[in-house]
Amino acid sequence: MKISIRKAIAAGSAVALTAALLSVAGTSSATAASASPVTGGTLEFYTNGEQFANLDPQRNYTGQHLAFTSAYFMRTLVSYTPTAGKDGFTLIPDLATNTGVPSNKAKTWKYTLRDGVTWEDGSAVTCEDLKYGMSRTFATELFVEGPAYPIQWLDIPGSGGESSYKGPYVKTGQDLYDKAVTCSGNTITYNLKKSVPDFNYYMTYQASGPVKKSKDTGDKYDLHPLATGPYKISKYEINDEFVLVRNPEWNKSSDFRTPYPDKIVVTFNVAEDLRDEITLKDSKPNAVNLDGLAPANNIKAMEDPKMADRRWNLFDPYVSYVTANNAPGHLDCLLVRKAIFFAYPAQALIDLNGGTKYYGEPGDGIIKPNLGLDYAPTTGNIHDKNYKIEGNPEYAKQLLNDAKKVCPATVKRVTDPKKGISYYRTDTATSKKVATIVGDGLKKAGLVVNVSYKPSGTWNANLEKYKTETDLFGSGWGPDWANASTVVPEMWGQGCCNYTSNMKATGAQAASYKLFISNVNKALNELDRNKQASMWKKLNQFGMDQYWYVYTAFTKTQDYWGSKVGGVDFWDPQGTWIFGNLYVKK
Amino acid sequence: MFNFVVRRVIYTLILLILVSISVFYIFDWIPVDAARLICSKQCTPALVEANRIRLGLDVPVLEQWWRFMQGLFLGRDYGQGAAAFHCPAPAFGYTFTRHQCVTELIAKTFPVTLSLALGAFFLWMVVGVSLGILAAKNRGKFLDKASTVFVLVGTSLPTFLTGVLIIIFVVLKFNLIDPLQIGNWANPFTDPVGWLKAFFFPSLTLAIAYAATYTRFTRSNVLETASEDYIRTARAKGLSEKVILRKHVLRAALAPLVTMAGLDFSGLLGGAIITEKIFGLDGLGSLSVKAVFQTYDLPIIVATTIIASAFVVFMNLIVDIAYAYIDPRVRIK
Amino acid sequence: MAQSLDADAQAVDQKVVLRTPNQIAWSRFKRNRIGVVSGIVSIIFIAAAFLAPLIAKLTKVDPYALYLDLLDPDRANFPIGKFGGISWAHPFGLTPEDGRDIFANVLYGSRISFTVAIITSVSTIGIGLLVGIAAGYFGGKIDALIGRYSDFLFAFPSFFMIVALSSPLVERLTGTGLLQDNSARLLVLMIFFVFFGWPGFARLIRSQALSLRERDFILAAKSQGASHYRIIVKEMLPNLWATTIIFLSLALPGYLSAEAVFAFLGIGVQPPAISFGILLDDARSKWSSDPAYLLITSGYLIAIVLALNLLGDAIRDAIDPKADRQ
Repeated sequence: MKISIRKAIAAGSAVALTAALLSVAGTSSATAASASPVTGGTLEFYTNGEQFANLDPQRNYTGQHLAFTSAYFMRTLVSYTPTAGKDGFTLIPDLATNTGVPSNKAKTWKYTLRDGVTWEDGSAVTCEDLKYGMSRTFATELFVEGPAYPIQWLDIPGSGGESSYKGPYVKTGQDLYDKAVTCSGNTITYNLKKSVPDFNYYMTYQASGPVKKSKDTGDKYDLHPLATGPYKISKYEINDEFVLVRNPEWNKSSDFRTPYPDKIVVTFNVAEDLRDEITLKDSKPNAVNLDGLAPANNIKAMEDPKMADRRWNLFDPYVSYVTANNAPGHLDCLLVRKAIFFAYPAQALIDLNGGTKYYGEPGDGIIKPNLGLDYAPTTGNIHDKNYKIEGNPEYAKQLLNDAKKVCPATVKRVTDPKKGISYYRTDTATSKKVATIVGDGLKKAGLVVNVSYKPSGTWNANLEKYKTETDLFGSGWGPDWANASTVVPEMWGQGCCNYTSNMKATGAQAASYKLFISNVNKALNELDRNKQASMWKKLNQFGMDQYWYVYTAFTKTQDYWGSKVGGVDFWDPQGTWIFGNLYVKK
Repeated sequence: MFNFVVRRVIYTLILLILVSISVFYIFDWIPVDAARLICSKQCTPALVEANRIRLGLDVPVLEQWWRFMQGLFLGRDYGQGAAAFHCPAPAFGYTFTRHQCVTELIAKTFPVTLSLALGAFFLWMVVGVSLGILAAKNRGKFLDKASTVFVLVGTSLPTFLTGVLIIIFVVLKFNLIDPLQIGNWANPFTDPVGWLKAFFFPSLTLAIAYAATYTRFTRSNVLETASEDYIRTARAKGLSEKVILRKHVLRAALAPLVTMAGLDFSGLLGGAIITEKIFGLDGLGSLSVKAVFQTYDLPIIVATTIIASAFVVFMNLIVDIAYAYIDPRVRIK
Repeated sequence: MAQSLDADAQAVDQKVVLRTPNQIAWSRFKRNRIGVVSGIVSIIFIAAAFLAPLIAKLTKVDPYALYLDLLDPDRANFPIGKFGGISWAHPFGLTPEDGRDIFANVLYGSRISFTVAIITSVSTIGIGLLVGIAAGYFGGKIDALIGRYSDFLFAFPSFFMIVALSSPLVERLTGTGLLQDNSARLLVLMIFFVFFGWPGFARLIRSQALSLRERDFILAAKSQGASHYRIIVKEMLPNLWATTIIFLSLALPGYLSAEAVFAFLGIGVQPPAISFGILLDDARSKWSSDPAYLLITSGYLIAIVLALNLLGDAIRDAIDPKADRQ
């Protein structure tokens, strides 16, 4: 799970999100770039952020940064097509000559490298570089931020998140890795311990990409990864500036990319007020706002007709949620969770973030409609006749009353002014407002909320600990690619908060949870995509019937760019610009 | 004099050693596990241990301190095997969240803090001292009253409000600076105009509160000295008011300012946290505060704390020596 | 010259009235019009802060209530109407996003801020007096020890230490289960203020006590065999009173702003509790969309600090006429 910088700013909380593959309904509201692109000039970006979350390929796990790096300077075996709309999902070969050849029930995957692909120092990108790159994912003593799928998939013994292979620095179990990933000339073979029909989607992730062993600077590689694409890094100062210039060693014939600007500059650390001013006044016409705007300014900008061709408003790939800790001793009572769900003051929270038009709407599950195949409307929850978007404290009270018979201890605790429901939130300004509104809404149903604000910077590192301590906590998630296999298990299964304590618990709650987990594992191993989709739908319904989430929202995104920026298109797979298509108008 | 200086230097060094050891003990005692913080989702106990070793937190506190001190003079290696890095002396640590030697970060941020501190120091000394003298000279007249108002406003406005108001109502309203340029570093030697643009308003913000205090202090000191007997004697001797003011009053009245100014200035060298935050300046203050709020980056926090202490302690030493030079009585103490 | 002769003549005419220094100071203070006015204003502010629940009840506004219907959902829940939603019912308007009454919030906020300021000032003074007198009166080893210790404390960058240590300490306190989040935050902040605040005051007291020790009346008391306790309480303390009052007059507005400054950095109490810092920080981040919010909240804080500072000046003038301010 990674922070998406723009979400963290918009929602005011350290929302953990990953890249996503989704079909956005309709095309982008941006004016289609019908004019032909212009080569040359300097394209600028500005952000309140201090730095890229990570540039090291084995660490990069943020949608926007994945899209940025792969569009400009770091190539992977396979890429998404740089086209707007549904075609964007189509995989195309990048460093490889094809999108991967599976065999042995998708347990073996083979790729052949293209000729003529080089590093920025002129040397050829080899099979060994690819093999070395993926091996760095196993160096968990150094790299923990990136996706860890190879640890679960590659045919190397291990249990849980632990592998017998410890990465290229410690080198324990190197022989095991050398067997799982093999090179023969220009062909690389990945041997997996289970069928992974989606494996080629993972090959679009930077984490699968090459690293040249002799140029690996370990921890420092994050500041200056070696380029394989049409640009290379000429300057990267955290808090200050990041500059890309053309890479003279890059060879057009080896790539589908067409570079337009001569230079690309990212300015970090732009104060939020200033950032908004720049966007509203178009004072940097050749620049793109990487963050979006503060909610009040966002509405202003969205309703200004003069800005019509400098913005879009689209559903993003993410689901925002507030999860109830259903482990014993916490919100271990279905009726209590349900009461919270119905008392939740969704409308005020949505309004605070810009209203349904811009923030999004309450969701009916953790699978968003733009996940396509895996989505079906659920029943109950927001479709219940008692559901009110502004909160229905009367019905919630009724549910609490019923709950007194089933689980009196839990009801007593959540209505006790000295204890109440513990709710951890980050200590950002908007987050505090949200907590105030939630507390007020639940109070109307007789529930007590006891908020603890945790430092937003250390939020992610402490997440696992927090999840087990608190009753409620909010976050967000987007699928890694168009399969709920990257959603349901992460949200409610082994990747989630109360897995361990739930599996240890006894009683009816625990039994139903165990059944859920075994069904999740069945769905993960299902090779028939349609069958798998119907299994995800059922599991989504199951979780919502358990009210494991007391609130979900299908959110939208608004983005802005200057009047001189052309080639603006929404890249559905990554939920951001198709960076490679952007150019500076004359 | 020589003995005095030696005594003070030894005392200062002992103080600095004690303070730095305490810093290590304090950050060891607080319930923040730095090894856990740089290890995120797939964290295992073994990884936390590995991180602890990487951060050098696996040894007793005193040894951590000793290694830090060694690093300052000899440089130090962080991490192990192929993933190890060397930070040359003076090594203040290595930050795994920003992938840099802390010394590099300090070298980058210190010029910003120094510029801000120097700019503010210059402004408040000039404004504060001259306004204080003028007010004392024109006691009870308009200028004196105006200075009283200035002192009141200056001491009543919290710095963070002054800064915000200056940005909102001065800088942005009149488009004085390109908004993307606010807080950007400019080298004073190659780009003096850019440097002035970058640091004038932040320095002004910081200077206002100090200037108010210095005006008040100067005024009352000048008045107090002017009523001393030896000034009366001087006047009786028939010396001109100008000479009295310059040769007798100011010399005595402003001597205590040396101590005050030295200490205030050294306090700023550790980073003017609020001003730097408001103007988005990337100085030592921002570095340390961000280290706290973003990731609790212990190597940076420890290094900046110790550096800030060192500034205060050394400036104390300099001020003491300077004072002993000015006023020989101090040396005997 | 003539005038002062007259005054002397009058004094001779009148019966000789013995006045204590306190009485002299008080009469001097009463003659200072600005001082009296700012004193009254300060008292009003303090009373308003501590009577906040009563005032809220009388004006029928609940500081914790969210007046969500008065917010405009089409403007990201900013208040409906001009100047941040100012109306008869809500004279200072409403906070954006959650719609709380700013007037009630300002009163409640100043209550927490005053509480912090008063408790810390009083504790600082208590410790400072104790340590300062001990060092100044007994001197010798005790003095040296205390002196070294305060040198040591002074060497720490106190502002940054508070920033760096408060959230871990809050975590530690709430971890014990004895305190809830906000009480722990408040306690930690006050402890830090006192911890880093007392050495300064103690030094001041020490130097005073040092000179008092050699004064005739103390020596006289000593020669009569008075106990240390008696000398300190009966002879020294009354003479340190002026310094203490002057320090208090500076410390109170100082800590009041300090609370706001730290809240600006996200340290101190958190919503739904209310403090000045929370309001100001919130207002600052929304100045472009709701400038009235920033002007009102910052105006109120500045007014309080200004009144207290003016009062402090007047008290200093009254106690110590040598530092003549007019």
